[in-house]
Amino acid sequence: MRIIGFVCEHGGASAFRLAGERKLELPTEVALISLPCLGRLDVMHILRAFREGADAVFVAGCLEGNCHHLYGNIEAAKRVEQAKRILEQVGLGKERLEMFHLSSDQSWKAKEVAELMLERAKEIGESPLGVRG
Amino acid sequence: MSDECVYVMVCSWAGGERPPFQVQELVEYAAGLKGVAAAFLIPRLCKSEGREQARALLKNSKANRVVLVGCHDSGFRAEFAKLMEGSGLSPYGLEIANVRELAAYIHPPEAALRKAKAMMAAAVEKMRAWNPPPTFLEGRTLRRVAVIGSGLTATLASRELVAQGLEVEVIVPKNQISTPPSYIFADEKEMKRGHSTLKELEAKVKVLWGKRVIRCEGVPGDFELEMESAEGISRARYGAIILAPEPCLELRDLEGRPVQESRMANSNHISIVVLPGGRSSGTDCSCISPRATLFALKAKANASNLSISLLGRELRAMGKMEALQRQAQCLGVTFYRLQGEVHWQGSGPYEISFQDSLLGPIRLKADLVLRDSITNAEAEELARIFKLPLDDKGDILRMDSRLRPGETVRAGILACRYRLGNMLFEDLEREAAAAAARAAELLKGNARREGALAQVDKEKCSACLSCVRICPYSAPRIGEGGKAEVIPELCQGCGACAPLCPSRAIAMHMDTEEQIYAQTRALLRCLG
Amino acid sequence: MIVGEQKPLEEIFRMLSGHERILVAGCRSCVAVCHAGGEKEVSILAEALRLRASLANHPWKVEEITVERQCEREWVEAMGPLVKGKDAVLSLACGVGAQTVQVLYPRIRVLPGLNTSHMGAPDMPGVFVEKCGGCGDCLLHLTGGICPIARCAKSLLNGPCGGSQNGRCEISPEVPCAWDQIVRSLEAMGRSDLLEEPIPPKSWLTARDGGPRRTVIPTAVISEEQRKMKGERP
Repeated sequence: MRIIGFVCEHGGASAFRLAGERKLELPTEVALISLPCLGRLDVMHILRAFREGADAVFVAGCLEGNCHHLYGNIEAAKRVEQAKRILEQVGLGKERLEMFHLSSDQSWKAKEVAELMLERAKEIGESPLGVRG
Repeated sequence: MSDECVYVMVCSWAGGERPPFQVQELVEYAAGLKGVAAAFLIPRLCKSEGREQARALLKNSKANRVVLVGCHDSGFRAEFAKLMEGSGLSPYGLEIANVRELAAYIHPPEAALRKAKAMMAAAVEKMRAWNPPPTFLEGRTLRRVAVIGSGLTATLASRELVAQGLEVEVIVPKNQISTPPSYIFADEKEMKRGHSTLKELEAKVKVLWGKRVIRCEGVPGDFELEMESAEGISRARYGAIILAPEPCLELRDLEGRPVQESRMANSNHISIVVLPGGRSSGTDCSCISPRATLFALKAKANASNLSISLLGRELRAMGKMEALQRQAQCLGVTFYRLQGEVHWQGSGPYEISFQDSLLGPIRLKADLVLRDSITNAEAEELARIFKLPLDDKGDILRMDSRLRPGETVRAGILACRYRLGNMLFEDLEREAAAAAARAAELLKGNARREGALAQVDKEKCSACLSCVRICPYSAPRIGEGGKAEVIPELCQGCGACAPLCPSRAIAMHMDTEEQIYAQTRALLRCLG
Repeated sequence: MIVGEQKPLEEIFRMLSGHERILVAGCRSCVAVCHAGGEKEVSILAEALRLRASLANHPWKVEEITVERQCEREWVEAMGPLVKGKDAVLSLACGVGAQTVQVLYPRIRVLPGLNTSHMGAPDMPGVFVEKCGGCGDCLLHLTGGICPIARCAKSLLNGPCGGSQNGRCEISPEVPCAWDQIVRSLEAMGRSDLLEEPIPPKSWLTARDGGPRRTVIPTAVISEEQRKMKGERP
């Protein structure tokens, strides 16, 4: 399984690093791409991840109302919705994509998010686009 | 990117901790990656000896991008960025792969090594796809601050700024600085501090009396304020602006009139009941506030024949207030724990009835009924003039108070809160100090911006205004050619505008499309 | 601006069945501003098509281009190199742009990726509302600057009708009653007197009902003779 997580520097990445500092065990199938703010996230980034073979993608950033740059997380939520619609219509399924909110000290939640997405990916099955030459 | 020359520096793990895998393997793997000119194992990258070794390696080398592989340390990036600059490299050509927290600590050893390699490959690809951003010209940084307000907070902020060595002009819309009620001071020392500030400052700051700001333009380091007064319109330029809207902290009677302390001292046998505030009164709290307690204490100390009762659901008496509250009790002030609503009849004298949670139903007679309240007329007006949003409580919206104290959404414009629940002198001092410190910090260096910003390609721009509307920092604007442009001094590099632009006219200088796709490809290739 | 909305992906997939080499063509003008067919939408749709092609075994090969204005031949001509070799152009411009592409490339099938609907403006970011009826005989001066053709559901010239309730149109509580707005607008500018003169029946010859309209600006017309003088071939 290959799962990509787009995280923001402030909320998402920090929570995952804290999980590391706490030596929590996280699924090896998950790898992160850090953005300055979730507002940087483009629908294209998500779609391209799937085209490159991701089985699932998650987006994790600051709690609502806590975005360091005011409302980057709200912008990202809108784009995740658009991407979900597209994924459903092209036949990949909207369950492969999910958005989560957490704060930088919620290391347990980072672990939960990673494990949940792995479960999801296993339930839906590998992406038909996953086999790379 | 044929000139890319990536140096990879792998930290060999600090302290007595043993890494779960052979760190040397990471170095060998890195050396084999495309675009990597050299890979090194460096002990203690976070310590000065490690950095010195790094500096020596970079000196006289062809390296123009660096990937560090190690642990996460919040100060580390800034330190290393300085090192890069010192070595003649752009501080943005640096990527850190936290293989310790995000691989070594969370996976079993074999998987951890695989993940670490994947993270390194992604970091290298990200740096290969990077282009050094343009450096913007150094802007003018005026070390002069405008403090706007007509009360104690403005003078306290001015005092802090003067202490920081900055030039201060206080713009007072009224014709005098208003004095706050005596009961916001917990003790004589505070009162002295508050009052002496006004005298101290007379010689040190310039005060513009009776001037109202009507327009603000410019960028941090170089703002222009337009002011109007009885004499007409005037303009002045400042490096930073502190908004210190003065709260009215007096207790008020039921008609909304502030209580006159002097009047009470001269009356006999007045019984006073103080009701708690609550959202409609601006205090957000139905407790007995420290201000109400201090009011009672001072009033009773001045005129012992006053009978004072304070009502509230809870009692707030933190820190030194606890002793003061006990003092008030000893002087005969009565504290009631309110349960439910307060009802009153009459129009002075009043009959008050309510339920105390221990004593049951209570009836009091009062000559004067006061309400704890905080109001502010200036905040909304200032927010409008300076184009700042308000928060849900009607105060000027401020950024995260831990990471960016005193900051509003506009860089260079600071604001002091006026609603803080208690609002004693120490709170005013703290707000003023935070804003002043932040302003001083901003004006320390030069207003130079480079690196992690957004830039509009005018050829592609459709002038649809999407970026202008979305930016939290009001950085994009329609320029002279009718196309959008991003003001570099205001842009914070958050990237919210770039994905929104319907004509893909906005490029980021860091975390570019290419960099994000490069990381995606590398990670998916290595994860499989 | 002209406002359109992207067709549902299922419909687009159906239109593209049987085609192989596809060019998705966008426009930087109106459809970009309403986030329907600018370069961003083009890139996202192209990516969605590629995903679908892999998943459903379509032979689609997708390329992309976005021009300044798809309704002007010079820009559409410039698309030539990319159009060459394609068997379909999926246009994300408005209907005008799509048709312009078809005229210039008659042998290639041009497919509309948008449903072009109205002439409107953003009431707030992201919310585009129809404003102008395109009737060719504007009477905004009589209606306080509010178009009854576009904004009244019945296009009444002398409203409101009995269905106007609390300033809302009977068709939906979300739609303001145009005539309520017109009356208030005229009151605000002190011209309620204009309501006393009924607007006579309209000649719809100048509107869509009279056939496709043709507007000639003589000073902008370059005559045949001029072209010859310039050395341009017909």
